[in-house]
Amino acid sequence: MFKSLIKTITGDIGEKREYRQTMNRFKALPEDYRFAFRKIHRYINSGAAAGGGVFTDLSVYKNLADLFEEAAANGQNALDVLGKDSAKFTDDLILASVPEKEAKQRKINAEIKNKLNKGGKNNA
Amino acid sequence: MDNLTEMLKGVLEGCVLEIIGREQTYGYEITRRLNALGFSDVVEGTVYTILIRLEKNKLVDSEKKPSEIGPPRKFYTLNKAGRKELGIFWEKWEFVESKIRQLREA
Repeated sequence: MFKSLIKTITGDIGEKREYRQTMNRFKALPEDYRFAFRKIHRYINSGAAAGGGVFTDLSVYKNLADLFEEAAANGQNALDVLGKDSAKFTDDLILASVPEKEAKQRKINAEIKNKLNKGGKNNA
Repeated sequence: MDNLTEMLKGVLEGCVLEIIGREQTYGYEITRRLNALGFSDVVEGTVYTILIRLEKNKLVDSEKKPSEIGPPRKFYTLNKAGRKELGIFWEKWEFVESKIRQLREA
């Protein structure tokens, strides 16, 4: 019992640290990238993006940070990197980063949850 | 030319494979090459997403090399599976291209 309890606590701490570290990468970027990140983050959290919600593995955000860091270092601005359709870019990035089956599963789960939660608290 | 995004959808991945197949390269360079070809709407983000997918599907190998500016840069090379996929892409392209040309010239 203690073994799994400890694993739960330390697992959580490790994940939280990794999450914070990844999010901090965006804070170090120029203003236009920070703005773009906030918008994309909000879009993903809204459940409207491919996959239907937040992901427990950070690969989407790590990939995004890789892209932003390299482009910023090249002196490009965020709009040049994202193009005209940031929402579509985000969807494509999610589908490329997360196994498609998992993305579809999450979307269905989120849709069902939202439907059954109608009238309840919005926990996006 | 603008607004080619829809039409290029299936084809861009093949183009990226072809470019990587010529020599080891990285995202920014691939994007510039596509822009130079005339595909001005193709942006880093698009190419980057394609590269992630290609790597996930094990069609390319990547190597991080230090860069003078900014973070280490990922360089991509085509592997055996990627070369095979590239061959299939060109076959499909030749088929589609010839059939549409027939349609036009019929």
